[in-house]
Amino acid sequence: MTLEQKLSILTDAAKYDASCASSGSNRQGAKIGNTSTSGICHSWSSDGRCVSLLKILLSNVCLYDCAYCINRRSNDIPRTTFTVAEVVALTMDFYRRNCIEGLFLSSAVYGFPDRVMEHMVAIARTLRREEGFGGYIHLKAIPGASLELMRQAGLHADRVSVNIELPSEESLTRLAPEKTRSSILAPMAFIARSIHESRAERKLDRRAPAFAPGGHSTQLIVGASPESDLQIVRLGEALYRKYEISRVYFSAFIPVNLYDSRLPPLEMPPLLREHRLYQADWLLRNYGFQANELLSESEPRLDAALDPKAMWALRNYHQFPIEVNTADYEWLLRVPGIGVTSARRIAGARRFQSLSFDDLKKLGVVLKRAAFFVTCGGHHLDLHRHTVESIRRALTSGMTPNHAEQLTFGF
Amino acid sequence: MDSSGAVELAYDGSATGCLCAIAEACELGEEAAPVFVRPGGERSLFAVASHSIEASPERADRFLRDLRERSSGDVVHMVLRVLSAMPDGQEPHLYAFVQKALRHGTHILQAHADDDVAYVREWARRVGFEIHRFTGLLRFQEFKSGRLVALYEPDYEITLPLAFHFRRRLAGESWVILDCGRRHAATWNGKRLNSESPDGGLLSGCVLDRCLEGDGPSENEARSRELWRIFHRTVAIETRCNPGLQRQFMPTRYWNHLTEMDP
Repeated sequence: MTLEQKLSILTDAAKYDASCASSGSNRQGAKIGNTSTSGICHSWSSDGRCVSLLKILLSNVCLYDCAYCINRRSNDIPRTTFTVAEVVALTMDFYRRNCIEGLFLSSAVYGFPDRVMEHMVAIARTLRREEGFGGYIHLKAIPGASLELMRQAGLHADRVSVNIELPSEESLTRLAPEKTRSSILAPMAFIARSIHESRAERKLDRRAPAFAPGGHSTQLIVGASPESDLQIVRLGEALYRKYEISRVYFSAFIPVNLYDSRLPPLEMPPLLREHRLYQADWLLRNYGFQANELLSESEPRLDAALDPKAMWALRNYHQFPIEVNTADYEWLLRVPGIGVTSARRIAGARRFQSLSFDDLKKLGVVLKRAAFFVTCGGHHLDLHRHTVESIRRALTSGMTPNHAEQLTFGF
Repeated sequence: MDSSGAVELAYDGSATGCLCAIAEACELGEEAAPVFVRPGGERSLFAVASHSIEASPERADRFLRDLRERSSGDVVHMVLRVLSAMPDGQEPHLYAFVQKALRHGTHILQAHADDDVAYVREWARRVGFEIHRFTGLLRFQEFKSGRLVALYEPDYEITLPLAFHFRRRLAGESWVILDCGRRHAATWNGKRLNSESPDGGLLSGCVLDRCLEGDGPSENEARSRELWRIFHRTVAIETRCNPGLQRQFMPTRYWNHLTEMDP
């Protein structure tokens, strides 16, 4: 089989992994390559997803039979495996031409987990030691591989991660019978602990070895199993808290194995639900929200028509409006239409002058959303005439406050 | 507009000239009401005086050093970014921004609602964004000599900041970055940036043509490019196809030099 055919097969098999982040690590001084804290996107594929890393599988020969996976052993598809040298050469060739930020290597389980993991570690080690490669390496740990191999992986890679795959143990047992909760959580816990310890040591001694300096992440499939948004968002929150995970990725379930009756018969992947979950996740990570503020047992679903922040603001409308010239930064962050950047700008700019609605526009605030929730120097845009219902209508139809007013009062 | 009492400052349209003109305006004092004129620009009918400003790198340097001391490196950085774009009508905003920075120091950068600060920040953001974009979108080809060569056509004059990025990233390689539109190039030979250029600035395209004479894409190059195209084509998920989103991140004007978008 030619290298071209292998690359085609093993890219196709890897494309469902959502992660492509190359951020969080700052590796300098190698012979070739470095990593930048903010990460760099090198291209965008025709599905609009960014391409930052050479995202491939080492092999798509699999002993497992997970219901949702294109590479499951029951599928009749061309199978192949890269050699260590092939992956190293591809990575270096693309990196020198500035096509990629580094390598994202995952694999099907073609033998004992330790054997697969050993090959993956060999690739990372060759890149670092023999090629002097300082670019980004993300290794996807194989569930069931030994912790010693995880340790070696973490010493060469910028990120090591384990996919949690499904949001609950029941779903995992049903859809991925060869994987167990503990075979996933044990390596995740080990990685979390190693990162934590390595960071602490490096604070004392800069020369201490870095373990996965870019942190770790995980991915779960949304819509293949019956868990609610509440369960998923809570799971994410627990992972951030317990394992100090950098990112949780959500992957809308794509029905690749239509013949399997354990899976829901979807026409299209639930992309909107995935999008809302990412928005909720963003609120957890960057906006100081908690899962139980957004969702509850009685309201376990995110609103499809409204983003989670607007949904929260309308449910808590009695706490608004807030005055932009005096409100705490934490409260500014909670206003729909004000993001982290504009909240920071407001906090800086209001030391020079009192801010008006015109000024907010200059600062990048989305007024057609924020205007319902703030006052500027005591003024508001006809806020008193609105009800939660009329604001909801305005936010979902993309109308400005003035338009919404006309609709509400039939002028 | 009443511009009686205005002093006309004519400069050559270069970034250095613009800095010298602003330096001159600052020296004239606040009552002077300067009007900046580029070559071919509209002259003021009411100007009481007209100065022709020489573009002197030493004067520009002195001015920036003074600005840095009295405000901060961040302020100078912002000014330089705007000058990489040289937008029409930038001079009054830049001049006003510099005046405010000299008065308030670096804190002025926080005054987001101020029109001049907003103007400078916005243009600095656009230029910074294009630099960041090209740290990803720039593509090198391997030449027979082993040298890596990248061609691109940026909107703004960003070759030098890009070269600083690749000096760290491809430190052990020897490479050339050529801005095809402006015919400017930066080179790196593993030790020095632009070592062929006597003044240490950017190379002109003709100097570059001479040093690339007889060189051309290496034997490996075609296969490598094809492998990258295969990867790029295959990594897209068909059921999530969204070419509009792809174009939003990667505008078509950049496609000429992108291996993966080359038909």
